[in-house]
Amino acid sequence: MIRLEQVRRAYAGREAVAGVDLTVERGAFCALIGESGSGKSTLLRMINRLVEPDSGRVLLDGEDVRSLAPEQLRRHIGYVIQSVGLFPHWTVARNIAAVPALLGWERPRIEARITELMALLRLDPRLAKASPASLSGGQAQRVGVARALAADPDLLLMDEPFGALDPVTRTALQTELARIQRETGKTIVFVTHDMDEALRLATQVVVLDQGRVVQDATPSGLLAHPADDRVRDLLGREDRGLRRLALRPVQSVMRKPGPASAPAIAAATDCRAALSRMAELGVSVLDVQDEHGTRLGSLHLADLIAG
Amino acid sequence: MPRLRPDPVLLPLVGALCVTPLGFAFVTAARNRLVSGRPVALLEAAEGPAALLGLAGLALLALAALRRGPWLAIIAAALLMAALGWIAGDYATTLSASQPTARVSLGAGFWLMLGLAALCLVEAARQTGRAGTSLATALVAAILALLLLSGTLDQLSILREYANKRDVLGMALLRHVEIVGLAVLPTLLIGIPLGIACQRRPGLGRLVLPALGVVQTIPSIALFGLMLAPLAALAAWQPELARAGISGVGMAPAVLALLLYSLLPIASNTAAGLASVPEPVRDAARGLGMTPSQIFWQVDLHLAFPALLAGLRITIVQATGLAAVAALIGAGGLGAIMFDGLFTGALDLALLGAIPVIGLAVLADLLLRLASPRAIA
Ligand SMILES: Nc1ncnc2c1ncn2[C@@H]1O[C@H](COP(=O)(O)OP(=O)(O)OP(=O)(O)O)[C@@H](O)[C@H]1O
Ligand SMILES: [Mg+2]
Repeated sequence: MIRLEQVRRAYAGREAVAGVDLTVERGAFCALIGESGSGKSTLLRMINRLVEPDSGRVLLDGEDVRSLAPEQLRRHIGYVIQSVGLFPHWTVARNIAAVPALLGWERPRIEARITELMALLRLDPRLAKASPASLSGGQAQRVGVARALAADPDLLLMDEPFGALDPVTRTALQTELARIQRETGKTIVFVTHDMDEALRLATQVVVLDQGRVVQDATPSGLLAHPADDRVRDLLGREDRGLRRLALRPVQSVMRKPGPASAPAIAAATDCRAALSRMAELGVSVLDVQDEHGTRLGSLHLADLIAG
Repeated sequence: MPRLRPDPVLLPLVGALCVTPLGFAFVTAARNRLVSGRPVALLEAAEGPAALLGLAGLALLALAALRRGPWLAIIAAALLMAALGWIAGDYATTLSASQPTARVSLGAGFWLMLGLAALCLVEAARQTGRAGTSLATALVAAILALLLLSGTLDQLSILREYANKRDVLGMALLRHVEIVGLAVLPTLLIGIPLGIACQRRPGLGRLVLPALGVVQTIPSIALFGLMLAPLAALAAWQPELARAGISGVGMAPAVLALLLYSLLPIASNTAAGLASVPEPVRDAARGLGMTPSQIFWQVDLHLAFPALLAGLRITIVQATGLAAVAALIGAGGLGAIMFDGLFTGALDLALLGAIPVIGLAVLADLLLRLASPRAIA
């Protein structure tokens, strides 16, 4: 569990972080979102002491981070940045092995871990001996995430990890990250500019503005009750309704299967995609089916909109 | 009839090779080593099998240039280079048989033709890639060895100078390497830490690097001169030092001046190499939990290494050349032979001093280039 208590940090008299209180529970997926310069990176980097607060405390599992040597602390916290920062003179494998090597793991254990992580991040094993310069942006970012996960830290800090990627690669990696978080139950704090990304992945969304927390809520809480106009702006005034739909799976609003058969839609779909499908086909009823084609229920436009 | 596909580089070179003998003396022949000689044209000097070989080489080269045959061009150019040496050597042998004190020196025509043939060789090797380059290198080495070992060139003036000065030349070469080594080693010990300090404290860098830049602009002779007075004073003040060989003339001022010259390339390349380490890489290194010294040794130094090596290359090549000038303040080395030849008018002796200087610089450059490709670990 992470607790920030009244942390402040000023650069040249301007407060980058101006008195933030924040709690992130164990296993949470916390998104820090806000405009450029709102203090997201500074706040994130306080957690692993890359930035020291001028005042206030940062507690990890109740322990003040200042009581630990910064290097020791960081070796037990994963760290991923937008520009990836792979070591260009090391192979992919050695990059992934960076933290285990710092921790003095045995060679076979490191090798096994590299193989395991490359599989987890769906990296071709042949890339192990490649140089970072030969990787695509998506591959490099996967290696960056693998490197952060190498020593199996409980906490992962990510600063716009997918910011520089094209939409397709980005979505693929988001899905990957969501899966890894589900499978490993790690606590993740990540910085993003992208509200869709935050709503899609996070369990907790923290909106920052000028170094202050404007709102700290669950994705649906944020959509239902935006704290003020700044949050409403971030949510996109026109898209808010659609974004709320996106958070809801179709199964939560479907009725019993009807007698007449309608066009089919997969049970894993969210309500926004279902609405889009209805508009595309010009129908107001869809048939919800599982992957075997079994009819689970029927979805009515009126229910979608009523929410 | 085979199709003509003239090579745009080789053909003009072959053309130049054909007209060069008309305008420049191939060798010069003098009564003795100190008077200036009479120009001798290629057509006058060329005789017998050597002339035939030369003609064959030129004809084949022309053919290769017209039909784009880079492999043929490599062999033809090598044959031509061999023939040039053979013709000059033969002429010298014949002349000195009748007049023992006569000297035959290589003339502008010889050097030009050799240079043009070498350019043909380089171009053809470039066209054929790695295998051609190896073949060309092997051929040139074989020809040079054959000409030297067979004694064909022995009567040329430069080799007669060499025969007289063989021992001196060996000593001078060693001395030259010693001067360069004595200057470069301390330069590394001072320059690298200085470069690191300049990169870490930009204020220091803005002060030190331009100051070293100013040193570079001082002409070498002047800097050697500037070293004379303080070192002489030092030796007078501390006789111990004088007994250890430190004085206003000789090795000490030469080494000191070279050291000052060498500091800039080493320090500034070290600083530039460190500055080129991408900030995200450092941020990641810190974020993963590397200590500052681990970041320095495992990241910074590795990434700065190519720049550092480039600095070392510049330094050694520069110091090798400057050390020749240091002969003027009594440091010895190959420069002593060069100046000996220049001041007495025996130009072949000057050449004998200059060629190894060039050779040393090229060799150092080559070796350090080979060491540069950055390996991925
Ligand atoms: N090392 C630093 N030196 C000086 N100013 C800094 C430093 N780090 C951050 N700042 C300033 O603090 C403020 C907040 O920066 P921060 O990097 O935390 O913003 P951010 O929300 O991450 O922005 P972005 O989305 O552009 O990354 C900015 O005004 C920035 O200029
Ligand atoms: Mg940022």
